[in-house]
Amino acid sequence: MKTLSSDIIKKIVDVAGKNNVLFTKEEKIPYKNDASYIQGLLPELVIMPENADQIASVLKICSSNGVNVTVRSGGTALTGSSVLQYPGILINTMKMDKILDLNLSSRYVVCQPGVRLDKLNEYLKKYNFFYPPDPASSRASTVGGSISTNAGGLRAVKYGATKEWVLGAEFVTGNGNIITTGEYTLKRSAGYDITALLIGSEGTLGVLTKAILKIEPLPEESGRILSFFRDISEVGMAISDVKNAGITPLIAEFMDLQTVDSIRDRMNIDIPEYTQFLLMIDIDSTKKSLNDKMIQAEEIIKKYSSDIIVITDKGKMDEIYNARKGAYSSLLKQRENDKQIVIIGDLIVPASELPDTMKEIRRKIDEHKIKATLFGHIGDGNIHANIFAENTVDGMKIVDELQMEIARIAISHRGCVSAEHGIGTEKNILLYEEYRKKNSLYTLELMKNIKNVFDPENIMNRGKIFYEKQD
Amino acid sequence: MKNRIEIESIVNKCIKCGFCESVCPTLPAADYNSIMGARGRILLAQFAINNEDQSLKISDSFYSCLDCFACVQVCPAGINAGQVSELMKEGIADEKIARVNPVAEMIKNVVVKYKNPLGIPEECSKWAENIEFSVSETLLLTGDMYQLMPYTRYINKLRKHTNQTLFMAFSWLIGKMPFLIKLSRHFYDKKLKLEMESSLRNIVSMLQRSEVKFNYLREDEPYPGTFLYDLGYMNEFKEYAGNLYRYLKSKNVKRIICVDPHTYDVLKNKYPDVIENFDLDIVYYTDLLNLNFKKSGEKITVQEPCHMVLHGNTYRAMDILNTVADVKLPANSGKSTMCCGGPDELLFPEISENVSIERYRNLKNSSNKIVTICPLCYNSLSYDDNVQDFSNFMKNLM
Ligand SMILES: Cc1cc2nc3c(=O)[nH]c(=O)nc-3n(C[C@H](O)[C@H](O)[C@H](O)COP(=O)(O)OP(=O)(O)OC[C@H]3O[C@@H](n4cnc5c(N)ncnc54)[C@H](O)[C@@H]3O)c2cc1C
Ligand code: SF4
Ligand code: SF4
Repeated sequence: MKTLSSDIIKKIVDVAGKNNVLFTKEEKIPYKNDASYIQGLLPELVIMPENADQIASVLKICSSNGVNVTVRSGGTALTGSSVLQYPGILINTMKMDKILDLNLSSRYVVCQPGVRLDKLNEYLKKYNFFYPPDPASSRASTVGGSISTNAGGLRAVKYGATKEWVLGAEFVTGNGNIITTGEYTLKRSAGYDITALLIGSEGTLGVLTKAILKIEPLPEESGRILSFFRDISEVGMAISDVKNAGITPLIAEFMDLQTVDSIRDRMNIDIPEYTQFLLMIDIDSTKKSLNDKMIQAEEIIKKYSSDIIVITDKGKMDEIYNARKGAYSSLLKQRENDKQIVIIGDLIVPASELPDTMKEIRRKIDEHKIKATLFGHIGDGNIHANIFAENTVDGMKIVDELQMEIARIAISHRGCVSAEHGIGTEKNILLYEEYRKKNSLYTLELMKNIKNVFDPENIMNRGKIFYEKQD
Repeated sequence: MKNRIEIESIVNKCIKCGFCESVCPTLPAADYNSIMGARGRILLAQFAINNEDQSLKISDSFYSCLDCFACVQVCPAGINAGQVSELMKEGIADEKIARVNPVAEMIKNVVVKYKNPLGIPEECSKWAENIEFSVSETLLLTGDMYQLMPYTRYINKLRKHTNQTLFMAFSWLIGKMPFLIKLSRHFYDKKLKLEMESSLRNIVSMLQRSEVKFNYLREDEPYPGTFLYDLGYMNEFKEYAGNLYRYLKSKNVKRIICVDPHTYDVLKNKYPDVIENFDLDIVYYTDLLNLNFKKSGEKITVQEPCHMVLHGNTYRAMDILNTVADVKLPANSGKSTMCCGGPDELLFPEISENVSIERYRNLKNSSNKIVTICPLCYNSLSYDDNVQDFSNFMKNLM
């Protein structure tokens, strides 16, 4: 492993400030992991900058000396994207944790990257507003990380993923230039949309240092319908009939029986014995019309499900929402031993393709005789296939094969290998496969060329998104 | 390492989601240095037990844990990073798997020698000079927490103006020559001493007015060894607790009234773990109050002690406050209450101060008036005169 010369370390420390650098091995150990099973390298230094100027100065030194840089905020990535694949330093933007500005009439809030999403919404709630992107990790994930992965979440069916909610940004490019992109306005038509380019860029272009985010008034009222099914096709038909009737649910989630089992206690509701799938739909509306909308949706779902539970009590709704948000983590209880890992997949297909895709995926999993559960955001066609794997060379080989086969199923249904978690190092081969199958490898070349403009020395988050053969 | 298997079985469940560090008060207070937060503690413990590398300086990570147990409330795998810190501190103290903190060592030596964290039991009972107690099988055990606060506040003031290395060297010296701690009798915050003594007197007055009969042992009052437990000296703690239990039994004590959450927690939950057939009845003083308090009608907010609500203990203080005042709980309340930072005051004063400032702001958003129910919380949060200990707030409504 290449180590930094003391001269470069001194230069970096001088511009970042000694108090903003972690040097010792013990302090750097936690940064070898994000929330995925992928373990990264120990960073040579961890820089905890306080502002964009410090970041720009550090990046200038790094790019002119070929020092690799990985960026991190909440460290909740599920794809290995916030740990080091190549030797180098880590920039952690958690110290930049301030909410800088709020403008209700113009509908924006300005944040630093280290603001955690739940903290942001706790703040906005006081004004009866909210920021809709809500990955299940919102307690720990941040503005910086969620923009960089274009995070989705439960509410994405109605509000879309993070990309719909970022108006502009301040960003330090890989070669150390501080740029501002976008506006404080809800509309703009002014050349290339660089802001859009930064969203989902997974730290490969530079470091986000400020974000102008769009906000919404909190929905006046919402209610929840839980329904139970034997067959996934019925779930698919129920949700598409609801949508065809002009109702866009606030959330629309499905879970298979094993997932339901993992959160059964936390949901604390009666689940009919025949249940193979559970559908959870939230509908929001004005106080006046919520009841009518709920009845309309209930009537539609009744055609496919004989048991329906309607919940409007806020406390109970929160209980079930939190249980669903904890679904991935709750699956841990089903591990056979502590060494077994649960790898969470993240495919997406057009919503109409979901029942067929699910059936094919289930068949493939059964062929491999591997334990896997399925849940996801049925409203937008996002399936999380959670594979229980032995963390051994052979175990991981099976997982890699299965991931590839499942990815091919999604691609064949006009879908994508990642809906909201990003590519990281985990899925870079799958992404390549997606563009190969679509006969559009040139798209990947264009992406690389764009990276080259932002980061000409290719120091930023190497090994993420693009597969690089290690030397 | 003795606790290795236990630690391993806990940390191997971790999925590294970081939920715990989002509520861990020490992480932002330590400028987001990961090992000073819950997930970092878990990952460092995992690393340390698998690579016994003596050169690693891992102690601060575990000593700085506030033992508040906020982390376990949100961990999807049910992991308690506070408990892992306790086990690691035990490994450090008993097996020297890493450097022992000199302040911790000093406290241990003083407690073991004088059965009192300041070596001045006579000072610690002065508050009760003119109070009469009953002959009873029920004993008031102050745990010395109220009495300790004026000294720790003063020592920290001094520490701010002295060099850190000098302070550590002095602690090391006292660790070697514990009698030097007796000098501390001269170093206390005068205003806080008056307030803390008044709190204790008010507690006694409320209990006596509620017709509770109890005794107090004055300068013979034993310290329960809370610090030995908190700092991981489990061997010493076991022996100490055993001696104390026998002493209490020899005095025919059947029931103990505690006045602070730390002493209550250690007697209620830790003593039974180390003493076979422990049969003392441990009660919290608020649960014995049987008075018709006047309504204050005032808007207040409350700092709920983590050693009560997050350690799974129950108490009646909140019920009482709800009947007399208009309680506006802060954003972090109940099972998501936030620590005041107090437990770090001696070893990590900066972290302690940063946590307390954050919590103070957080509470102030709900109400100008703050009521605390623990002497550590009062000491940490009393940045203005609108902060009052439960004992003093309620006394005015008697
Ligand atoms: C239990 C659990 C549930 C999850 N559920 C969901 C879900 O429902 N939906 C969903 O979309 N995701 C989910 N995730 C994935 C993850 O939480 C998200 O990807 C999240 O948005 C990452 O945010 P973070 O702050 O933790 O980022 P990090 O992990 O720190 O970083 C993520 C990526 O962003 C980059 N990055 C971080 N900060 C910056 C910055 N300042 N500038 C430039 N690049 C930066 C990193 O380099 C990395 O590539 C879940 C994760 C867990 C552990
Ligand atoms: S919340 Fe629990 S599982 Fe998640 S990082 Fe913390 S200890 Fe690990
Ligand atoms: S007990 Fe408190 S201070 Fe310790 S790790 Fe848990 S949340 Fe952090």
